[in-house]
Amino acid sequence: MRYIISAFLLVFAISANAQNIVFVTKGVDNPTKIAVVPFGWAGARLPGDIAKIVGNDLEFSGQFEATKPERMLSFPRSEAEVHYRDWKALGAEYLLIGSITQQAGRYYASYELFDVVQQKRVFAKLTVDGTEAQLRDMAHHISDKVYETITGIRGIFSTKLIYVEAFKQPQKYRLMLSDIDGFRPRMLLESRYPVLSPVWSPNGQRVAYVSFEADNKPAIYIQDIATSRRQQMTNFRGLNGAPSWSPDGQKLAMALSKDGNPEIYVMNVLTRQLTRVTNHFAIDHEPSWAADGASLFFTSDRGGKPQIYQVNLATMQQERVTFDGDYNARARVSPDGKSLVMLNKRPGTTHHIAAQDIKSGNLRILSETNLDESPTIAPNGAMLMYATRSGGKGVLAAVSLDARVKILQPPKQGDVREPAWSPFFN
Amino acid sequence: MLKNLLAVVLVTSASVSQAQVRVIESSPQSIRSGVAQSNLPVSAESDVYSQIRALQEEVATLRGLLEEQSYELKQLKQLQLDNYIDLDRRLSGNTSAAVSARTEDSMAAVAAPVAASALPGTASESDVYKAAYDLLNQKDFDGAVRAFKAHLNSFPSGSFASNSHYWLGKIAMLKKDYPQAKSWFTELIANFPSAAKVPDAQLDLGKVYFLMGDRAKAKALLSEVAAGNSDAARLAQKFIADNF
Repeated sequence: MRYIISAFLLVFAISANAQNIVFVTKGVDNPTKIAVVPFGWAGARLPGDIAKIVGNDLEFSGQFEATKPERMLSFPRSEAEVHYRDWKALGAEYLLIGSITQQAGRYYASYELFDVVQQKRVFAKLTVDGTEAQLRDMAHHISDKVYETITGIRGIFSTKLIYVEAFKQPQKYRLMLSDIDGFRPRMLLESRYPVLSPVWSPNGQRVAYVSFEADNKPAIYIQDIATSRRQQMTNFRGLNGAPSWSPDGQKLAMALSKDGNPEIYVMNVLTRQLTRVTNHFAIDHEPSWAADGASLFFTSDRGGKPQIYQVNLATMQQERVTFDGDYNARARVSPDGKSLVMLNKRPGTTHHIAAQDIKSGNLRILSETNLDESPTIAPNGAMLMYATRSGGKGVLAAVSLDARVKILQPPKQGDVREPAWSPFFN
Repeated sequence: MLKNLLAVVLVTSASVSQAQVRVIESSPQSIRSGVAQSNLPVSAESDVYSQIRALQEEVATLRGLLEEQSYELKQLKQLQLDNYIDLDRRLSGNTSAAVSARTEDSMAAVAAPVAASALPGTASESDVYKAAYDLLNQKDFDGAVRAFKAHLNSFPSGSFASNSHYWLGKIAMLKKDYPQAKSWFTELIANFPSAAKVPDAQLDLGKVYFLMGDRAKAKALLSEVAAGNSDAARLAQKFIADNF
């Protein structure tokens, strides 16, 4: 706790273009300082500044602070031009240099990383290539490589985000896909009726969601992200909600009220065969698969208050797993299967995002803002994103799983809600 | 045990449901107004329906209570077991020091220090450790060494003891006192084999061997670390690749 209080509040705005600003509202106490030198490039102005994107990416993790180019004493392009004492004077611990060349319409970015403290090269020159439209992908790739080399944790800068953007006048809902930093938004679906609960398939190629487009009634759809081809999976009477993809990608868990009141079912995506999992007069909702696919976590008010229960799919044995607080709902399992992230409310407070260690049952509150909802965990397990409100608008915020880093995403045109963080794509 | 509890719940819910029935009978107005548009008289069906609803609510509340109590019971059992194991460890740790001294007053003698140090001690151990760690963060290495050693003196088997060993080793390494660093890391690995800091300690012990010129021992140890799946493993792999 003392660390959190003593942590200085970093409020540096990293502006990439005028309307897009990511706010790191709280970084780690002692971020690693890295200088990303503007990459060498002989041609005309490029549509994307790779060095700037890499610097922004690393700062987005909250674990790094990028040295501003205005402060740099030199712009080395090769190891021979690197003078370690210049960088030491700036306080930089790492130095990334690189250059871009163009050949037959493709861009080639070579980059090298140096350890300023030890005065040596960390990795030899690496090259990544792509088309002009892929310059941002190339930058994210370099960020991943640098992040993983320094922290030992796989980087998430090449992963994507799906979210729902809601507009009031006229009322419309959009399912959007973007880079994790909010750039390059692309519309997957537009509807006059609500779109809810998007979830990625484990292979990152499809998305399942609930849409009210048919007669303003909920139904679950699966959409192929590349081709936009869709199929309607359910059309039952009453609630069709909260799809959750099994880790092997073959099944969808969901909540249906076709037999009276909301219960958990599992559907085979290929055969559409439906298996009923719960049978209780209370409301059972929001299923989420355990990492091993052998059990489901779900929300139920069978104990008088919403709490998370776990059901073993082989034995159908059910057990309550949350005991801290009078409200626990919408559980999501971390990629390593060790923690449960959920909405938690303790008596006398508002809803917060909390993480619970599954084995020990210890609960940690992660978010400090009000009206937080819809947590989604990064595939490397280091961060999670959630929807919150800021300046009267629905926006996305991110927090590291140890609660030491907090980030607010720039507001979009509409109200942003229900983020879904993609898996790794390879 | 569980069966007994269930029986109790069933009995209590049965008696409560009777109470609920009586409540409904005593206030027929509300029921009647609820089904006013129905042409039936006070329908037996709606009576049964409200009774079922009341029962369901009652069962849910009781279920919640039961779940919470069985969870608390489980926790208490675990706590008791942990306390017993802790006590057992302290007892067996003390025997080597003073075997003969302890006879019939052993229980009293042990109970006193345990009560004095274990309960308030666990709270303050983290404070003592954190204070030492803060000194380290402020790069006051001599102060940090004193503080970590004081922490180890007060809490030789505390939950942060392995961390203190690790930082003492790290500081010795920084001061190029490799034999001292070696002994801290070796002690950590030997005394706290399941501590989270063990892979890091092995990695640094490997580096210490390397710096002392014992390349064979360094490589053997680093290869062992590198085979794991920790952050230390990745760093060890890198160290091997860079230096061997």
